[in-house]
Amino acid sequence: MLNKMRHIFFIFIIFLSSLWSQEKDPLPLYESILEMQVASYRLSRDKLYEIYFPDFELIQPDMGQAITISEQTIGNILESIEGTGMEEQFGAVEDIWNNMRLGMLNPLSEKEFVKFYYDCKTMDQLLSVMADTLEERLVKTHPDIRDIRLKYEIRKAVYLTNIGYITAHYPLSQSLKGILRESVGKAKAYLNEIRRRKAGTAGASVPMLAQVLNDWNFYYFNLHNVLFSPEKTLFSMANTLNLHIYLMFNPAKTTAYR
Amino acid sequence: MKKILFTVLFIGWAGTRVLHAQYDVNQLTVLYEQSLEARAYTDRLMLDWILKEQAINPVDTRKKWKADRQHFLALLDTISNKVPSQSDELVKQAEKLRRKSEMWMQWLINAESNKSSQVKQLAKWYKITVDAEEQFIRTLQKYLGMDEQTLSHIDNALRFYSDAQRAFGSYLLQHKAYRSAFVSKGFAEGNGSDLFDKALSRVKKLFEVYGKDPGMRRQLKSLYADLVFFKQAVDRRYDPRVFYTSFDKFNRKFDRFVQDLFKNNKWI
Repeated sequence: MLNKMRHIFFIFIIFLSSLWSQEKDPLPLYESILEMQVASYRLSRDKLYEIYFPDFELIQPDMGQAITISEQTIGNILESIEGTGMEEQFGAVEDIWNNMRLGMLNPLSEKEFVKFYYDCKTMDQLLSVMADTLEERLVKTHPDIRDIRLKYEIRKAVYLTNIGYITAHYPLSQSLKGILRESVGKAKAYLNEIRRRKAGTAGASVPMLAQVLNDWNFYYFNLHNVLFSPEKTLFSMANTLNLHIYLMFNPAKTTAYR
Repeated sequence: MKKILFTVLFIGWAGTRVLHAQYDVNQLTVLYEQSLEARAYTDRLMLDWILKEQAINPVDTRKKWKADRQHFLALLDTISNKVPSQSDELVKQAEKLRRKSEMWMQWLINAESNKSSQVKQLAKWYKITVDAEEQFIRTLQKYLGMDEQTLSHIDNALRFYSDAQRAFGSYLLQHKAYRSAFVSKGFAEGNGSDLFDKALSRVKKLFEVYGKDPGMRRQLKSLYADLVFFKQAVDRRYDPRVFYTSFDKFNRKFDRFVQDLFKNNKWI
């Protein structure tokens, strides 16, 4: 009798452990959430440039890429959100995204852009809450979780500095005037943190870090020199900087930038 | 006069009861679901071919095209296996459907858009396949004794998807020399904008039926938003490569929607 019970108990334990092992790693979902934040700010940046520089030849291709990445990423989130307990939260994100989609393919007026930007910001906040929730679960299994988060936060901050430059110098809503200072502060803090974390490490990412810091200094100089009217230069530099940041965190990839 | 009418109604009612008693309703229901899905996949495969020929995201479209074809074949297999052997009518129609579909598949694999005779054959066999599918579906509806309302729900649930496939296909076919073959066989229509409108109005009706279920409502909202986005992209003449990704996600959402709809027979 006792043997039988032991047997049943063992089977039960095996069953439980198989259930445990079947649980999906939430890391891809976590990264998709962060990627969505980056892509949507990139899109906001492009929509803003479309207002003031409609003939700038880089805008449409960049926007096409930003839309594609955003659409793909939000779809990936949708496909993996089930069972995480965050379905409702994501429902709110999807609603905002669908709202943004309505204006996405048309050139926006300044007023429409302000609304678009605030939608993007609200979505960003909701996604951050979701990312934080997942991070609490991931911290036990992924000791490098902070590095992963930084990989996205820095790129997001760079796009925001680019948005911030335009909102600071063009006649948009007063409420958008503080973006530049705030995002430059964030980008600097993230870069310092990355530098600290990479100090003393060896690997393929180290030379790229020097390149990134170099890019940043040049970009920073342009951000603060209105005399050069560097809007188009800033656009390209922000893209290059983010490409190098991406390659720094993904040294195996040499050319492709998502 | 009243007597005659009553007798006719009684015979009709008794007839459907007999059919019900004679066949396993569950088996027929599965068969019906599979054939509806096959009908939706016919338009999906036709669009896959156009995407492949126009080299829109070539690596991805080729991969998807192959996977969709395999899924379609699997559906045909299930249909052949599930068809009740005691019904000659259904067996014959299922056989016919399989034969026609396989012929169409041959053209689908081999036809090249720069060879007009091949494109004509492809479009012709698409139409033949669609007709065979529709006939089979109608027969199954008769066997299942479905009421008008259920028929209308299921019609909207599946056809909004077909409309969307045809809409995107129509958009891609614009200014192409081989477009007319697809127009004449009922696949393409205008620039796709009206077809997206049709799909949108069907989804709107679905909200009334399935909107009370929170899961289904969420899915319908998402599908509706996708269709609005596509219509806008078409009206703005946006580069199809940009919204190809969104369309691909739309396809997956639809697969999920169909799974949920058929699960526990929600559509009945």
